[in-house]
Amino acid sequence: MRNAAVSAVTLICFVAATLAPAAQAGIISTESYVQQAQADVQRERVSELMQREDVRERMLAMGVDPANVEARLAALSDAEVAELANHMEDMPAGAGVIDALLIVFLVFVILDIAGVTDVFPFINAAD
Amino acid sequence: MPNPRILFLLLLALPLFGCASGPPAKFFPPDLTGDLPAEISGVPFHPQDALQCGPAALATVLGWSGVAASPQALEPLLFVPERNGTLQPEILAQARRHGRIPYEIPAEPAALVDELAAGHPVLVLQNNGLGWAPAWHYAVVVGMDPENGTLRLRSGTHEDYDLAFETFLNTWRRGDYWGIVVLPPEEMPASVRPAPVLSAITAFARIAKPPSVETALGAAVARWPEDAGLRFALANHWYAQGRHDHAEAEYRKILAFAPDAVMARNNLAWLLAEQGRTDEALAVLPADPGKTAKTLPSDPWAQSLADTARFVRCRAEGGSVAACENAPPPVE
Repeated sequence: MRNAAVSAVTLICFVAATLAPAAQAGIISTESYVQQAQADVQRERVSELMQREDVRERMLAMGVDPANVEARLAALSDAEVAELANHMEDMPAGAGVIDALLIVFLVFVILDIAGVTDVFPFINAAD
Repeated sequence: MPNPRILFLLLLALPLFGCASGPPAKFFPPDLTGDLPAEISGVPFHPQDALQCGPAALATVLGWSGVAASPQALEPLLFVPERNGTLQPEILAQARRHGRIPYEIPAEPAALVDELAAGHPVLVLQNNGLGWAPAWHYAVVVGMDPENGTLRLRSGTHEDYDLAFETFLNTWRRGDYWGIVVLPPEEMPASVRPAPVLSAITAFARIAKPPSVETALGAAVARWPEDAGLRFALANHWYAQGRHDHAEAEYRKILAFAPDAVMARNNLAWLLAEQGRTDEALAVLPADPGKTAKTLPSDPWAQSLADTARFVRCRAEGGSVAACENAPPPVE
């Protein structure tokens, strides 16, 4: 019983020590300097590792080849990982085609002619 | 007399113009039209396959920057099957993996003009549809013809796609004016401020080889010699590479033009104390760093400075680096 309580306290201390923002003794790194300059990112720093794991799982769920996931994650900054973690489902996905009903076609032809949109390149191409 | 049916359709479409029109954006102050390239030379053309405008656009700017890449090779590293397209952060990440640094330009037409004038093609995100029926698209702006009022793009399956300013601005505004230049480490963007340049190089440094990072930071410091953040990053880079003499010189340069740069003061004191030059380290530190930490709790580095002062004093009393690094904080 007492052992269990000691283990629990040890575990809590360990978790708290792991999650607490790193106490900065020594050289201040460029990354912490940059993060300090972007104050909102700083707040999300504790969860950065979790967010990276979250994005990895979402990429897999969205059909990305597991063989490529690491190569895609490795070069993302912490801020970009946070952006993906929060907006992967709704941020723009550039594809070059429109995902809309046929009935919209005419509207876009007209708007293209008016130069408001550019869905059909043959309409606006100046050559 | 126009066809009445077309007129009728235009009337039906009128409310849509309301959604689409926002504050008018312009490319130029009236007098700034000189020295713009009609087409930047050396920009390859990669016609996109279905849905692959992201890989095609990135391959285009990478090719211009001197890295041969094909859309086919980039596609498995960019495409998100469930989204049927490519997400912006992943374009940045893959540019870095190819040894190039992506810089987001400020979200305004003038920034695009500045980059074109500097000879940098700009990869842009457009919404060629409307807010409620988006057609997200990546293309590369490669030139500008102010006389005709057109921009030249590598776009989709079109190598030289000339688009009217107004139409382009309508589509680009709906993409929140997102655009990037993808540059070799020695080249600096024309429109980006030092702070975002530092962020971009720091993100690059996660995976880049040290000589490339050194080149980029060197170019940035040459461009903005009195930016404390950039020179601090260069000094830290030297420190991490074990070139403590170079690091020391750069920290000292920062303090010469920015005495308030606490982070540089901290690192210089630490570096000197590590080398056993404790008198010099004490001279760099403020007289009472503990007091500084209390009076300036808002300074993010005040606590670091107090810790470093403890390290310096421990070293001055003859403690080893390892012992002093682990010395417990004093009980007050």
